[in-house]
Amino acid sequence: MNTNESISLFAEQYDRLKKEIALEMIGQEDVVEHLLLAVIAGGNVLLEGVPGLGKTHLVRVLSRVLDLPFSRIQFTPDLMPADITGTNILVRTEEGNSFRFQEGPLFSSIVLADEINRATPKTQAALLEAMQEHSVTVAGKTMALPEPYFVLATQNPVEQEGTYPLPEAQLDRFLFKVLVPFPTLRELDGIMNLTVGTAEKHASRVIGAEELLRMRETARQVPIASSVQEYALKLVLATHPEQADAPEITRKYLRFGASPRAAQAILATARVRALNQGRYNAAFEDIRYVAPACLRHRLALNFAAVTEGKSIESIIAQLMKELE
Amino acid sequence: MTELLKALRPVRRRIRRNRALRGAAAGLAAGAAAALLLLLLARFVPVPDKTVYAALLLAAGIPAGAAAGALIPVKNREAATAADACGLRERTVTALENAGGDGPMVRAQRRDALDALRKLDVKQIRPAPVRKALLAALAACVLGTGLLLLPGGQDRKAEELKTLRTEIARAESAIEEALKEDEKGLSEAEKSELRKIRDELMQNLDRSRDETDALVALDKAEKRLEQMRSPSAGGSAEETGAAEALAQALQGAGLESQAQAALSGDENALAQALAGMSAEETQALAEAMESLNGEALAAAEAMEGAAQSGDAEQAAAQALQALSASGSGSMAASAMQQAVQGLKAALGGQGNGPSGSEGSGAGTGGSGGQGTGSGAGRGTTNEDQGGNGTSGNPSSGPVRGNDAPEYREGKYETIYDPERVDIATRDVMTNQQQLGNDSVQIEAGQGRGTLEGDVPYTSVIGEYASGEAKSAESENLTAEQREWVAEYFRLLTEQQ
Repeated sequence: MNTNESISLFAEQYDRLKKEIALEMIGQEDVVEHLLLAVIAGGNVLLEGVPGLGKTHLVRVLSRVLDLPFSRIQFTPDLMPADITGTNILVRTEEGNSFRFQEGPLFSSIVLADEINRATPKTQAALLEAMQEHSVTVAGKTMALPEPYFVLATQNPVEQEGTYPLPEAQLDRFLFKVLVPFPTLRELDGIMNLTVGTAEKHASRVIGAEELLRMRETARQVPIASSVQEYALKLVLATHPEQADAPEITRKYLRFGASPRAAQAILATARVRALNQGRYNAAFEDIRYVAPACLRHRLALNFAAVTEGKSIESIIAQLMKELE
Repeated sequence: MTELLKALRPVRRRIRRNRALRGAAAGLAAGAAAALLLLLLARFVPVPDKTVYAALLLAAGIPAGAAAGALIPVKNREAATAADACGLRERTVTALENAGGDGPMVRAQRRDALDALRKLDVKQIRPAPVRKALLAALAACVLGTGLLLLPGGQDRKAEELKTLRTEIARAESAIEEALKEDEKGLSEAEKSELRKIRDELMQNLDRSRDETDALVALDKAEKRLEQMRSPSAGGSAEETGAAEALAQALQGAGLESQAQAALSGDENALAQALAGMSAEETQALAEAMESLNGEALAAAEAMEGAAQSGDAEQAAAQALQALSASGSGSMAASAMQQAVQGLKAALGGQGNGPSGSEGSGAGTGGSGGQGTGSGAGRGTTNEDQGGNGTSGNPSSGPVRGNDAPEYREGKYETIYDPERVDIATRDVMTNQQQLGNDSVQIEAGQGRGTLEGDVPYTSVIGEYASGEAKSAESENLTAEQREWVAEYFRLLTEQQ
């Protein structure tokens, strides 16, 4: 399949993915959209929402429509790094006993790290290499993880007792942090019909790993005008309170700003969004659409912001407005 | 690339149009602001025709702004950005930036951008808001109208200044005309001198801020013309002398009638006298010519030629022309002087302001001692022209009176010296504070004088001169500077 065909197929495949997911996922269009953008762009996603909103189910459905190997890790305080990366175990063979590496659940294309903030920092840190380099190092030996590879983590924003907030380094490795909102009445009604009623709809495979990688490659070729790219970069720079020309709101309410990974995330996902919108170039509106999900977990509010009840979302919105 | 630029042309045109509209609005605001400033300025400084100038500024702002807006070139990127702002979502800018690029995605993007651009309705590209500019212009217009309606302290002065300038312009053209007509018979030196006087006068008149300045300039020019005429007057005397010499020579030769005709300056009488000359009389004329020189000789030669040729009329004309040739320089200067005097008279008539120069003169004069007359004239300097008398002899007609010039005082020749007229309040020292370095800070109370404190210039100039000479002595001036001060006042005093 050549690039021209890939371009024309992109939007169609994207639509089909969305529609297929929608069979099992009632509402949450925005969450699904962000998840697909991140998956096609090749990034990890942190899903945040109260329990029972279908976060885990969404990831399961995604693995099904993408037809990718899926593994789920329920993070708990006693979870050890070796439990997720794998370990060398002693096996008996015809030649005698020997150590063999037993792959952990990280060796899968889609890894669901459920309630990631319940594991200790040590275990959380074991994810870093996998998330960033798509590899795992055990006993001095580095092993590549399958491609495509992405970690989809969930966390509960309400119940904080016995949890370990993710360190900034870890958060920075998530392309998006997607907030999963509570469904509306109509969506809730649909969920009830689907789950406790008689309706039976099952999402099935739409594309495979190969098509997904091709979509990713196609999206990388989408051109971005210098002004659009500059807008994204300025937005990231504007989150840094130490910058001389930082906006007033940044200096007043932010403790630190986003890393260059945020800019990479914005531009990569903006390209994907442009294609799924039927355009061959990224636009300002793409930047504006993906920026909150790219920035919200990379910024830290200071004490003044907390006491004044400022939210990260409102600050990001204000920054985008000021840069227009 | 070419296709893309071609597709951008309507966008460019639209932007230029929008800029012209915005420029017109901005120009209107700027013009209104400029007009308002002019009207404000006119409250403090006399500005003739301020309404006309304000209206011109207001009106000129619109086309100037529109032209400036329309003439600024529209760059490709600007046009692309404007097109993108109409919902093309950065398609055009991206295509423009990747115009030289190749690859399936870039080509697809370019096609997409072109399609979108061709479907674009350029009417969506709206001009930048002009509301603020229009409101500013409106506010300036309202304020300006208010300023126009409210009477200002400088309005009367502005009117006077306008009249002055009109008069000056008229006089300048009159002087020009007079010079053109009369300088034909002048020598190069005389022409040069007259032109110099004229140029200086024009320059001084142009610099005039009020009537006083203009009158001073005119006085100066008049004096120089007078000086120029003096040597010419010598020429006039020479002319008279030439005629008398010719007459005496003719009388000596027994040619009484020709002598009378030469003296009278009547061409017909002279022609008649010459026509009737006999051969003996012609011989007597030739002998009489031996005692003549200059213009008289030229006239006599013309007469002799005429007597011989028989063309008496031409000879008479040539003789009279020769006699009057020496007076031509003074005629040109006189013409110019008359124009200057006319202007002075016109300006004197306007003089009802504080710096006005209204003066009046009255005199009686006799016309050749045969009649008396009375008249009134306006003087602008301390030397009135005397009265224009009307002769008592009907045959002589009105002639210029010959009374001695009577001294008159023009208002501009008064000095503002309230202390002298003693109508001023005195200084009141309200506070005195000793500061360091031997300095004293004094707060003075009400100042001296009123605007009514004018005294005649002539009554104080002597005193001023001696006072300034003393001051110059006491000041740290060089000997040359002291001499300059003394010379200045000596010259001023001499003029009185």
